[in-house]
Amino acid sequence: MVFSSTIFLFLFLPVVLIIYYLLPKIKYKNVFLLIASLVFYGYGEHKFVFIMILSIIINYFLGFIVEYAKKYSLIYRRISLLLVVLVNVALLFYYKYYDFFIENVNSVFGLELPLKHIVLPIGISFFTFQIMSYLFDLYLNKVKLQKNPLKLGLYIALFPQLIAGPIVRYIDIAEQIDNRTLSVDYFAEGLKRFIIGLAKKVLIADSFGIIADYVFALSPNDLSTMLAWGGAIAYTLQIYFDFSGYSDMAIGLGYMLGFKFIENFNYPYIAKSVQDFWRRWHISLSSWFRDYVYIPLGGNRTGNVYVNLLIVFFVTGLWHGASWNFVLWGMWHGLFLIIERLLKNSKLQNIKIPYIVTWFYTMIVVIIGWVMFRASDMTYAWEYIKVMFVFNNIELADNIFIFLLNDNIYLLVLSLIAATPVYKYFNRQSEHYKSLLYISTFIKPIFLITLFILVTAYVVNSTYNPFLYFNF
Amino acid sequence: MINRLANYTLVIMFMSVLLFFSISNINSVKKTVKEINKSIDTKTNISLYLKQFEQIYKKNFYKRKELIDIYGMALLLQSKNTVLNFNMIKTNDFDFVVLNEKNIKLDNNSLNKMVGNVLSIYKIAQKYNIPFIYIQPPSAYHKVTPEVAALLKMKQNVVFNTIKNELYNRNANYIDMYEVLNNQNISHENIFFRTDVHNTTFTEWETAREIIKYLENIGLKYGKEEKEKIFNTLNYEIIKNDLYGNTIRSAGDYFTKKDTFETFIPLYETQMKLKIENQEKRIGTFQQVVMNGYEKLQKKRLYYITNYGQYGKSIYTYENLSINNENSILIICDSLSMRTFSILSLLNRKITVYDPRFNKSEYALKQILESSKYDAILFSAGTLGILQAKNYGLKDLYENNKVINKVN
Repeated sequence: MVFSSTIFLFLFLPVVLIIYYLLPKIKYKNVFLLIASLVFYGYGEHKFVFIMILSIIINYFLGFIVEYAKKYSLIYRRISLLLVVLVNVALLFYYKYYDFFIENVNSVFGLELPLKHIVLPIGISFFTFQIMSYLFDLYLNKVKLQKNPLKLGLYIALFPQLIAGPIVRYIDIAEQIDNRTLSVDYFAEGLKRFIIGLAKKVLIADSFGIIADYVFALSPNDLSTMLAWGGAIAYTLQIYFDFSGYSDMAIGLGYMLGFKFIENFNYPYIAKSVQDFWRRWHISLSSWFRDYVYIPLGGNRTGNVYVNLLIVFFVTGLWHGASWNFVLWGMWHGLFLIIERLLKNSKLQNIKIPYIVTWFYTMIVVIIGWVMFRASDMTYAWEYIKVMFVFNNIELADNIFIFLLNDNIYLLVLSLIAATPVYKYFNRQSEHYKSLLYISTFIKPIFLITLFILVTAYVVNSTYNPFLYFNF
Repeated sequence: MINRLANYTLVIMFMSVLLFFSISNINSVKKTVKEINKSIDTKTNISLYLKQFEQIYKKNFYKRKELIDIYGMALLLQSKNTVLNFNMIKTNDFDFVVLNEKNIKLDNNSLNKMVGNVLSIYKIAQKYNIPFIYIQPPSAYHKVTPEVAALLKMKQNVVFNTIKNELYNRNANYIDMYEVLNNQNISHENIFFRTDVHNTTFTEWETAREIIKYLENIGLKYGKEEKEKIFNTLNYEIIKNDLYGNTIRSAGDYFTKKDTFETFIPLYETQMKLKIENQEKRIGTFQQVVMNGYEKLQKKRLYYITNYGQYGKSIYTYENLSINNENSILIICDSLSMRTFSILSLLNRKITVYDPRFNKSEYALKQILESSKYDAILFSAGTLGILQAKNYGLKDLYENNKVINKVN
């Protein structure tokens, strides 16, 4: 089930909200939410629910093993940690990487081992990482063992963030499972967030997705330079508004149910460096890798920081998909992080570079990275990028690019504004003026409900509705 | 305090809208379940059931039409010319909208098959010594600007031009109706509908007129007075309706201007007989027998497409019991020519329509050709759909002709 569907919006959500708020006690609400989350997850592919339940059960018992091992020597504690990693990585490996691994073995060794064509359970990367974060934090004594399987199940399966994040840490949510705020104000905050997220996804992301899909379906030989850039920028906007829109909806739904989740995006397209970009993009994932991979490897304190960075970004790329172009994308970012670090440590660090220059550099790196990410394979990515920068025998702009640009100019302007904190700035400014505050306070609900109805119109008519990060 | 009040307002408004749609769509849920349960496959396959549930629930959604109007208005505000996933595009100043062919794969194999179907019918006509005429109605690729054609990577122009070249090379009778109308300086406004893939009734009348000329050239006889009567619009009651074509289903009433559909009802006496797959179905006037009108909806503000003579069957015939000739014509066509051939039924004793898209028999065409005498075979493809039909029933008659070696 996707949030931007009629089934979710007008069948699932109203039923869940009504029953949830009618139930008198938190413990009943928790049980109901767990059941609703399993229904939500099982709606798409009902067999995958059992995989998730199995994962919850196994990790529930692993929690006891980790906790029990603490009473013993370091070696037993380390074995318990290793068990956590092995079991969860094995699950992920089987469903996500098995065929990729076999393909590469066949390619390298000239074998013909059969592929299993395993269907990837939706959101497996997200909930596996979420489970692992709980067990790691348990190992590190940051959290207490959760002995109630239903509560642990709720933490893992909670439907707002189950399929595409944010990756919620148990430490951030543990208390909220038993004790959370349910109020009209909280609900309204969540609602605003949810509607904005829905609009970002349906009105902006899907529209650019149509363009990106069109351009990336063309052979690079058929692309003009401007059309190639158009496609790359369309995908850049699609992936941001799709993913951040989903995160907004997840956070919004969380608020509506009384949960406060961490922010996952902070206007990444205003970043002034690749390092800054990664502080703003998919924050829950990058902080997960920082805390559970980069820092244990030594971070920037021990070992070789550059190697550590490369490892982290190798794994980051691989996490996104079982394909070398995802790895290439990860390594591309890793490379620029290393370059920036080197420059920071050099004599050049004192040179003041205007924000517009650093921003432009960052966006070029990010956009090219997205081409690698989106391309069907590395060969296509290379050919596509060549067209973006090399003008040999290719038209600079063509009729198709001009048509698409004219057709989407207003949307492009709106999305460029929405990708920056301009609205937030004006919102804050309006708080200083009482009359503006009165007006904006009452216009906002009308605007939001109108937006919701508009989104409903799009959803009812739509034929195109993927959530990109569902694939991970 | 103000914030609290605004929050309450928002929550109440949202829950009202949410519950309004949720409760209003309870019937849609029932309707959807009923529709899905008709299919045996979905009953046994839960995933398929749920996927189909979502699709059909959306189609049955309460106030869907009004919501689509809102969608169309949003497109208009953004000055957008594309609808959905390039399903339809507004092109040039006259706001034409077209259907694209993105799901049609065009390669050597498929091109050979499509063109081969036409050439096979041509060869069969020669074998049975029946004159053959191919009619190309004005089609979507005539409407679009070059950049839209490039954007859509239109395929029908490749296929139709290949058919034209192959038939010209064989000196076959070929009518390019767009060329005919263009030479008469007829504007696109009079040839095409804005909102629908079909052409105006004017275009179909002119097509019928042109076909009669060709039929006379090959030796069919038509009375001068009869022709004058049939082609004189004063002999008809003309009823005009707002046409809600294909586009409006996906982009609403406001995305583009509505079309006007003209229905011509003969004021003179007519007596027709309809047979569907050799079963007599109706005897009556032209409007009772021929103007069956699919999706003809009487309620206001519901989509209204009128077309004639489409039964979703492989063979049907109109017999004109009041005409003074014995002309019998076999027609293979899609809906872009249905009104043309219904007009022809006013001038010919018998019109037999063969639709290979609904043919389940390997031998249908042979049976048709051997069961009756035909004075001409007409073939008309307005879209690629009919050319892609899998079973033309050519077995034991003629193998598909391979016409080209590569797609340009």
